[in-house]
Amino acid sequence: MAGILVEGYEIRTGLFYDDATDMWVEVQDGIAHIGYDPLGLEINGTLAQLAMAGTGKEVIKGDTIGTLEAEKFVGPIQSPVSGTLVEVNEAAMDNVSKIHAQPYDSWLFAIAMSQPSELNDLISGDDIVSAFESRVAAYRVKGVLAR
Amino acid sequence: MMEEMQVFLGDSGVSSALGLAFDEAMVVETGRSETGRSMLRIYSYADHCVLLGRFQRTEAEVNLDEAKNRNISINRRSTGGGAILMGNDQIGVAFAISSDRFASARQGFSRFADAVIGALEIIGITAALRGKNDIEVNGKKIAGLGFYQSGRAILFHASLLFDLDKELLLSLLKVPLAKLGAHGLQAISDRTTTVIGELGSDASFQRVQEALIDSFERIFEAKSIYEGASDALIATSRDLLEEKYATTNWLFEGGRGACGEFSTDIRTAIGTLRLVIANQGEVIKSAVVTGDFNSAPRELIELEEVLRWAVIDETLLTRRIIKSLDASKVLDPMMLSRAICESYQNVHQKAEPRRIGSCYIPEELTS
Repeated sequence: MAGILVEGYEIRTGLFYDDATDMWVEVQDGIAHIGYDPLGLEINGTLAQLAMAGTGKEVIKGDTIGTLEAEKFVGPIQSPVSGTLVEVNEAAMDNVSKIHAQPYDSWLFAIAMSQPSELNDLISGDDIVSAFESRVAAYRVKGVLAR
Repeated sequence: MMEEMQVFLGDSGVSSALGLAFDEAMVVETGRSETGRSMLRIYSYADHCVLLGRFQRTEAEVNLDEAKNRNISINRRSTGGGAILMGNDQIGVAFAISSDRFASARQGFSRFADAVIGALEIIGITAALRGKNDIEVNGKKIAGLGFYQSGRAILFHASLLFDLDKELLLSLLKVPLAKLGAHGLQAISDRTTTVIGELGSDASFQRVQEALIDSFERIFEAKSIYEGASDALIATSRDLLEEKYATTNWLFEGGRGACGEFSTDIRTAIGTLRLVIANQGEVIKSAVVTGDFNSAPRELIELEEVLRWAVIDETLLTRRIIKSLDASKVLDPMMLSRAICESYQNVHQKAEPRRIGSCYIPEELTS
């Protein structure tokens, strides 16, 4: 999958992005694998601890699906799509250095999507680069990202 | 239009479970409320209690035998950060506010820090935010901050050192400083200060309390109102006490990652330094610089702050040190990163897995 550097952050054009949660989403056969994108990692800082709900939990987009303690944020992990939590990537959650070094190889949880049409609300295709640039700019204006 | 801020005062000597339950109830009820009213609570705990950060492992952070012998309670905050000692001489500040007021939780956190710093300014102490979570006075920590987002509201916590029993702290907390023996007390003095330490006999608990209210009103453009806790707040607080903060499960619900400690010696322009590091999994929880100097140079105390929360990975560590450390003129970032990673690997690879003890629930507590 093609990777492009935008404002110093790697993005991948074949994925979906959710700017509300700073997560990437990869969908295959109705299953969404989800992880933090490089900008999300920068905003949150080091992800020290993650605790996920048990598999089988049903969520609506935006629902809390776990909690995290990061260098700059302690709070809920929200799901960018609706569905059922079918898998938690325990190996990734035990390997913080890999999450930060290779965020796209470190999905955190998988959701069997109940509302595939929600993908239309995520950012994809030709919109990814401009949307990512806008997100970086917005975070800089808000003062949560260094210029 | 000026927002309302409900102020709760007068809680002193509260138990750790009750204090934490009320704080969380504040953020829950603030999130549910349609009034947009924030809540500020200024209080102190009963002598003494240890409050752990959200994901810390109880056995790895606290000397449990010592706590039991001294009848000191232990509990776990919903906010992150490290273990703290609380009691009559430490001022707890809890502030719950709608997250809609900020572009991000972190932005709200900056304003919360400004409010605490502003209060210190009012009583004559010039302080500043250091790193991510501490407020310092001339390089010494005087307050620790934390925050937690729950639904549509955020809870901010501050523990402000009015005074501090350093010997008690060293005997209770398993911090690298405790390993320094007699030097540990000096090391704490090098790194912390208190309101009494700064103001001497001019220090007054009530004056700090009044300054906090004034400063929060100004920073959050709010008008204080003094009403008793609502029925909903009391009920939520009672539920949280029974279901969470008074339970053993919550106390021992630590995060993942084995806890450990290791040290590394590094040659620098000013001599050989020993870096003592406590880690949980691959993340550095705390770091202490020691060496043959009477008091740690400021650049090296700064290094301790930079290393806290760092991932133990050579590339990530080097990048972090270069980005944020003025002390790179004293220390070569790549050499430092390599030394830390090698020491971690040496200890990590040799360590036997421990199923019971240190980072796990002690056997006697599992029944």
